[in-house]
Amino acid sequence: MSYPERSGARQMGLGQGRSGGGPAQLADVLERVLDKGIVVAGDIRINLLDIELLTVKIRLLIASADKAREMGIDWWRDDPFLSGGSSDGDGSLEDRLKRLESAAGIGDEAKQRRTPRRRKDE
Amino acid sequence: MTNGDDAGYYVYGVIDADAEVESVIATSSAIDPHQPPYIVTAGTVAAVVSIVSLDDFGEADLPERLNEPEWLLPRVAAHEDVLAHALARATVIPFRFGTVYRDAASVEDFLRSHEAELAATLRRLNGRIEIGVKAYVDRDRAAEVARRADTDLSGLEAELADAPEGRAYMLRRRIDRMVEDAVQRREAEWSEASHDALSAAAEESRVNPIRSPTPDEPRSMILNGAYLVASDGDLRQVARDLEEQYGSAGFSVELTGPWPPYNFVEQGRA
Repeated sequence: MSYPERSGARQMGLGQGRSGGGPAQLADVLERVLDKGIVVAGDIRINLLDIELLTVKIRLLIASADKAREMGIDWWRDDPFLSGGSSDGDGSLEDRLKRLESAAGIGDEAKQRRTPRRRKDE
Repeated sequence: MTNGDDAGYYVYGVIDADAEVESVIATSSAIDPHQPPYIVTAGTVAAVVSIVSLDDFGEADLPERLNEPEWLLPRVAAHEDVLAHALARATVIPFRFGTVYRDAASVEDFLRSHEAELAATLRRLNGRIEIGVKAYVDRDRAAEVARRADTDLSGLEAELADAPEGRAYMLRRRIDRMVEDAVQRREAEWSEASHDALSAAAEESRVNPIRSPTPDEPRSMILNGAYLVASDGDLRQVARDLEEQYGSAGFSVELTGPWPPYNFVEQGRA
């Protein structure tokens, strides 16, 4: 088996982003780390499967942006949706909840894009 | 925290025992920031681990903590960060969040008892990475293009211009329905065309559920795919080609990664 050095592979923290220079997407990370990957029965019983992931995600998104910043996790700091609504309440909690709920799968589309999209004529 | 009775071994994933990742994972952010990740080897396979406090990962408190963003988020981020570093140097079998053993011997036992399947998975994945691709449609743009492109519609629009109010209302509703149908047809067509083209450039592919849009987001996701590749060059080219082809009608693509192949390992219990 060989492990070629991947020159293009990022060796970076989440803060530096991983999608062609764009910041890492919270929803993409959560979708993988909590929903995918091998499930192994360790010594400590952790039953992620019993957890209503959507609930987790919604609570995460509502409550976490400020606290996460305090903890030095800032991978969505420049995300207008996540950072904007969380700090000093522009947009009522109810509005934000509604948007989150309508996001059902809690998607990237719940946030506004900051990465310009490639367009044919641009 | 010391490596005593209160210490557990958090396992991020499995790599080949020969992979040289120690130096890169040592600089990543571990679950416990004071306990740098390292390797526990057994036979031909090795686990990427770091020491965590069993107070932190205590069975009794865990169900509640998993629902506390301030607890869960940094640990999920650390899980991904450690594997992202390992991925730069090794083939990675990513574990789902939350695998903890009481001691290094238990980690070794796990590796030994599953060595054959882990080694087989590493051989299958050899050097592969996962790229996430999401395709979107700007529905307003797509609707506008559909209005212009559809000759039936332009006929109706002309009729609408001269129609009396009641008739105009019916016509408008009919046009809206036709536009909506046309947009949906395009979405289905683009979603399928995208996944087909991306899959052809990948060794394996998975389609994950679409994440539904919010009212203020004009784009709807039409594809949430994961693709297993040796390098992302071909996929990027396919993505560019797709945007070239459909972009002016409101279609766009976003790639994420490289990721450890989360979507391409056994999802059940090992």
